Amino acid sequence: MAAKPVRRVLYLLLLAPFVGTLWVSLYARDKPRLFGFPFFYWYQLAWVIAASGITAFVYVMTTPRRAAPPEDEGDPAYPGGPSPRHSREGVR
Amino acid sequence: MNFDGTAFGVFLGLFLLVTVIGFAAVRWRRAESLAHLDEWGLGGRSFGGFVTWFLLGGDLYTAYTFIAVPALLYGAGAIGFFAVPYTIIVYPLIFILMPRLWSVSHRHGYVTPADFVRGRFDSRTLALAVAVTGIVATMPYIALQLVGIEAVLTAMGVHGSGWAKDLPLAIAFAILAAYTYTSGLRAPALIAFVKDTLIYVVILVAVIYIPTRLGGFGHIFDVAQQKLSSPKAAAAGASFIPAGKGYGAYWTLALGSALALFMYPHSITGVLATRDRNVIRRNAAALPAYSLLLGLIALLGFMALAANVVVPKTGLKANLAVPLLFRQMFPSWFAGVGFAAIAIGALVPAAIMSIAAANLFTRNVWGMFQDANASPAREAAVAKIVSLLVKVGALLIILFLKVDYALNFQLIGGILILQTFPAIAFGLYTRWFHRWALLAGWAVGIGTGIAMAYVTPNATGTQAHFGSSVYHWTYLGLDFKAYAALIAFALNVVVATTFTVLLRAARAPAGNDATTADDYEATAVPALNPAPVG
Repeated sequence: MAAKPVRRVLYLLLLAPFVGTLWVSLYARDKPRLFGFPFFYWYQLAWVIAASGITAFVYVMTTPRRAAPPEDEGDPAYPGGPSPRHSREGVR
Repeated sequence: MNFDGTAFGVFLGLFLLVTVIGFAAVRWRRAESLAHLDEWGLGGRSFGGFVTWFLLGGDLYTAYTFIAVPALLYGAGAIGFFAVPYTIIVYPLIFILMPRLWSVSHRHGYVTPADFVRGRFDSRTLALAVAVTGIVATMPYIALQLVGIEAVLTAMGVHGSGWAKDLPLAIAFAILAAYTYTSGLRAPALIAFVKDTLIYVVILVAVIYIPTRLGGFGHIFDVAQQKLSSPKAAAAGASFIPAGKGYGAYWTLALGSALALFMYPHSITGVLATRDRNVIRRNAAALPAYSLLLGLIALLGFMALAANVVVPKTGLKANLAVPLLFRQMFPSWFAGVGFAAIAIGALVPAAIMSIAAANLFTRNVWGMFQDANASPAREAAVAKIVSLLVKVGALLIILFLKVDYALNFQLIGGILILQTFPAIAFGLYTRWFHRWALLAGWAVGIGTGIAMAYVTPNATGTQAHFGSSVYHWTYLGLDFKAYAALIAFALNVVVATTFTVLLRAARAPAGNDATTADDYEATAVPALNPAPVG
């Protein structure tokens, strides 16, 4: 399941929405307006779309392509994991 | 308020439709038997990306959100918009954390976050703390869903006197309790399709149609700005754009709420019901569509200001802003659709929350202390009964306490649930923290969090305690305002870290870790017989 180390760096992109939306002084103003929306409001709505795009990009780049999707194939996809037996141990 | 027969008729029709769906859901993706917690409480752990998008959307964006967020913009202005950054940054967090929780839970058959904590840290006490926190934080959250239903009933003019006043609410909840009991998580999952479709339609129509009636968005914002900067509004702490002093409250509310959201049992139930970890990762990119919707819903608060909607000074207060706006702006039949969307929006999360609380109680309170060797069938039977009790409890909170108290409980709920973050979320990455240190941090976080909320009056000074979730910190030479839950969380982490260093130095027994590093990366396995968990 683990992606290549180079690709793992891409996870850092997920920090961008935090900086963009939690740094309030960056956007706490009225002008410029867009379609009548003050900057404060449209800037944050724009980040919804941007953040979703970033997450989608990171997903695509860090998800290894599977030769055979496990849900369609009968064969277990167990990359380097323990045997199914192991998975059946209970909590106690 | 006059009774609106047309709106009520449409409302009733849609309500009956979801009732039928709720009971029929027992046949959907039919399991051999529902007498297992994996089936009743997690929908067979089988939901794919499409179902999950509706289920989690229906679960996280509750009726209370649709009522309270615009109410906050209506009453206090910009601060209410924190819901948007909150629901933006929650998804990168989900993307990182929740696939790990899914994997380890899938491997070990964990049904609740407390199951995980028990396996990871080998501490019954810590698991019990996580479970009880989850249950206590969820109860008022369910009660608030009832506030959503109450608000739309009031706006339709449904009222009576004495005990008859609460009868419609009690009936709605009794029906909900019945189909949750029979169908388990399948009921809200199926109803979520109706709920989310209705909400999208109603809100898209609202944000296109209402501004045309009110002179466009530019005008709506101008009126909101004018009303929110009146001397009276400003004295009550309202603002149109946050000023320097309000920044701290704004970003800490967003961050604290985002960290807390996926510690709530109902969120984790939605995550564990998925078929594969990549379903969660894909949904972290797809679910923000609801955040965009929430942003538009929030602006309904400003539309209510521009439409001169007047809310009552007692009872539901600003929570009536959106229902009254619908009644004023829409033709009766469409207002009925809108009211139904909100009420059904209350049923989905209320059902999932009661299931999640029931799972917690069964696995981590009753199971751990009363009946350690319960069969899966017995576990499912206990959980079903507990789900009923949880709903009765929520109903009693609403019937016998004022709405204001329900809001206070919800405020405390956010503070409580965030204190389980170190044990659950840090635990997904490291076992460095000592179990007793995590317990100490949890206790300190909860104690200080409740204390901070208790001493905080509301902005107008009419309420001396639990008046706001924002605490004014003046200790240690610091002076700032921030979300009390996040301050308590910081103290929690400091205590947990300090105690871990001390306990490790003292070589206190750390217990056995039931999990291994690759459990956290595990992918779906082909269907086996349900694992003999517990």
